[in-house]
Amino acid sequence: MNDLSPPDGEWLARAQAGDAAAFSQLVRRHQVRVRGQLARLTHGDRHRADDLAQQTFVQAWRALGSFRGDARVSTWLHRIAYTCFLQDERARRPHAALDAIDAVDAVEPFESSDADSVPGDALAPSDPRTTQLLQIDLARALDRLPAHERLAIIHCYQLDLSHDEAAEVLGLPLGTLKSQVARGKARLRELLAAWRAQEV
Amino acid sequence: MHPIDEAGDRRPHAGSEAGWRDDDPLDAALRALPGPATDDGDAFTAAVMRRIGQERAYAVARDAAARAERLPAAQAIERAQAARARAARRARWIGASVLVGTAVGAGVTVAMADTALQSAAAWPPLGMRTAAASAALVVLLSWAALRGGLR
Repeated sequence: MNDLSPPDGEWLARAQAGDAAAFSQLVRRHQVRVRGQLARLTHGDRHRADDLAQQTFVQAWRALGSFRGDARVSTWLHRIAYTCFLQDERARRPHAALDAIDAVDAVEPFESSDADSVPGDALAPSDPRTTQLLQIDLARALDRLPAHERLAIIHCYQLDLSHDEAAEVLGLPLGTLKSQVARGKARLRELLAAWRAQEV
Repeated sequence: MHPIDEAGDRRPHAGSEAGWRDDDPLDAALRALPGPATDDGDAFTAAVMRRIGQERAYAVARDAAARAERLPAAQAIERAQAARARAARRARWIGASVLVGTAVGAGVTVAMADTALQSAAAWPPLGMRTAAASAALVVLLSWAALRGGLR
């Protein structure tokens, strides 16, 4: 498949010909997504995320010649960013397996910020304050998921990638990714039991 | 409707293919989680391009250094090859000189010995001197050939 959008394709072709200004356009376009991905992967460590994002784009510049346009530019950049993150993670904790980095031993629902006071469809609140509280709890719940499930959910939901693309970025078989998403969501529902009690 | 991301990049998949459902509150809540604020895109892009510029400058300097390292090595190889060629030429010259010197010396010795023997029959002291002179000539010619080859 070769479904590069025309603007990305044009900038990419020029960048591959050595045009640094064209590459800077690609950086400007995709930096929000890449930095967002890395900020989520690093649990909100903005400095580390930005450093890794810079590294991602520098590596993308080096690898421009080998990119054949088999994937979208954004998917390609997410893949490089994820690789940079893994390398950095391994450098920081050389003896820890990815799953051991932030996995939880058991899923125990935590006290919701203010779920008890929320009426109606609790996971789809209508007032801004409740939405904010739900987002805080949801972010906390995400942080408590095993690493692989959290990564799968981040890439599918928050980065808005298709299952195929997320599997490519994470280097997983499609079926494995889908089951990790399903398991992660099941755990999230357990962790957010207090909110669901309001919803149901 | 296919969502369109910031880059104007049309999504190749609809929501159902992405695995999320619009009617699932958890899916909607997950998708609605705000991302980190990135309002310094221009500064970030400039920082990336600076790093790439440094990288390119470093690559140019590294190539120049590699070329500079390769040059003396190439010159040394060239010098060694030239020395080897000179040594081979000299060896061939020495061999040829010795051969010619020996052949000439042998020829002259035979001729002078023949003359000396003939003279000795008539006047022995002259024959002895001629024989000695021919031997000295052989030694002289061989020495000259060797010296010429070694130069």
